[in-house]
Amino acid sequence: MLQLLAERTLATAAGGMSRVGEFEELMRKHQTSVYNAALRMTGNAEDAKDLAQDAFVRAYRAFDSYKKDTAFDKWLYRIVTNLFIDEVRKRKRRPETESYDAPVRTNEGTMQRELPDYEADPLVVLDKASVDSRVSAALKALQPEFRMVVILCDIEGYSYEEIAQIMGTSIGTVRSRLHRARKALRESLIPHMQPQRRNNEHDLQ
Amino acid sequence: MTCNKYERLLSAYLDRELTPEETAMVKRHIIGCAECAAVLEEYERVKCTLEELELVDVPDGLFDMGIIRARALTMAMEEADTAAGERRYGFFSFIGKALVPAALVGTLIAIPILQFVFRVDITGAIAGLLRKEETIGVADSGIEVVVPELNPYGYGSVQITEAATSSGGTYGWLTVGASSSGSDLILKIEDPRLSRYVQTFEGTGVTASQATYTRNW
Repeated sequence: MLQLLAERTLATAAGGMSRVGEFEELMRKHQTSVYNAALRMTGNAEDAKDLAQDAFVRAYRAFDSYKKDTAFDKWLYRIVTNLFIDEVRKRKRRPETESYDAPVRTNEGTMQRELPDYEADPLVVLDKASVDSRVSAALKALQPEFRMVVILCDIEGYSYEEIAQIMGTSIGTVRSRLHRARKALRESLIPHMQPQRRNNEHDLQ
Repeated sequence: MTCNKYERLLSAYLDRELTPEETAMVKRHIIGCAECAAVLEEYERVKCTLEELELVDVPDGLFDMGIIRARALTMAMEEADTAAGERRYGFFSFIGKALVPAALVGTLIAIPILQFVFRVDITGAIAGLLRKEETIGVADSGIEVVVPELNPYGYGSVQITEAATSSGGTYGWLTVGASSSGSDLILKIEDPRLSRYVQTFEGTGVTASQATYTRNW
């Protein structure tokens, strides 16, 4: 009897240690994609670090309730998404200083304030870094829920069904959000891209 | 225009998230519709741009297991503290929450009663509290400078220098105009560049140390 108890205690202790090890392994596996998703969500490294670390702290705390039959990454992204949306709402309640980079709120969502770019030179070929910053700015102009679906779909490669699970919404909502997000991204990004056998006579609006 | 219907499907078509029937429908449509084909191509370029974004390296030490565990522990302890605090002071915190609006309503009722029934000048006293008189030092822009004991009809000028401690260069001169509000002379500093430091009131004999400015909230 006593031996059985001792064995069980040992097993639990070992289980506890291996659980930490298991979590650590999963964290190693997903840290790059979580950090990069956080970077695209928040738009800056400082907030991304906070968001990504907070997500893993919360995941670690809730790891006991994580069921092995669900995919860890989806469970994790659900935490990231909720944390991010919460943070956005919190910040909305206490707005910071007004910035020219901040999107302007309209009935149709948000739009970017446009100031003439005196340094823009049509002859300069867009390098990777400037594409990156344009994409970041375009993503930042989207409302958080719309930004999330684009990140989860195009950057993280999830299906509509998976995104619906992660964001706790329906596939239909994911589909319509993606449609509207793509439309907005197309309007903000395409004019800055090099033309690719584009026929200007067929102007789209 | 029928395009509108298809246009809404293009994004999901691109993601291969349409039903086989919808997919076939969109396929047929874009063969004959240059506009939708162009939109689809642009969506595709946007999607590709996002897919091809380069992965950024994770900052060192961000996902250190020790840090994650320590933060998780701190969070659990804080939550336990808050929960214990709420259990202990639950009743008092309820009173506290009720007291704030009660006090607010009480004050709002008390002010007119005191003012009109008992003829106590409450609003004047509150205004007095809000009126903050300070010796002129570094004045903010747009602040009204009240110069007491000055001929109410007099005009003079004020020399504005950056600060007594720095080079003391003259920023400019401001005209001091008399106001009709009693014997106070109100000086309005309008140019923010000129609002740093008021040193002397030329032609009036009033120096900075004698002047005060009033900030009205």
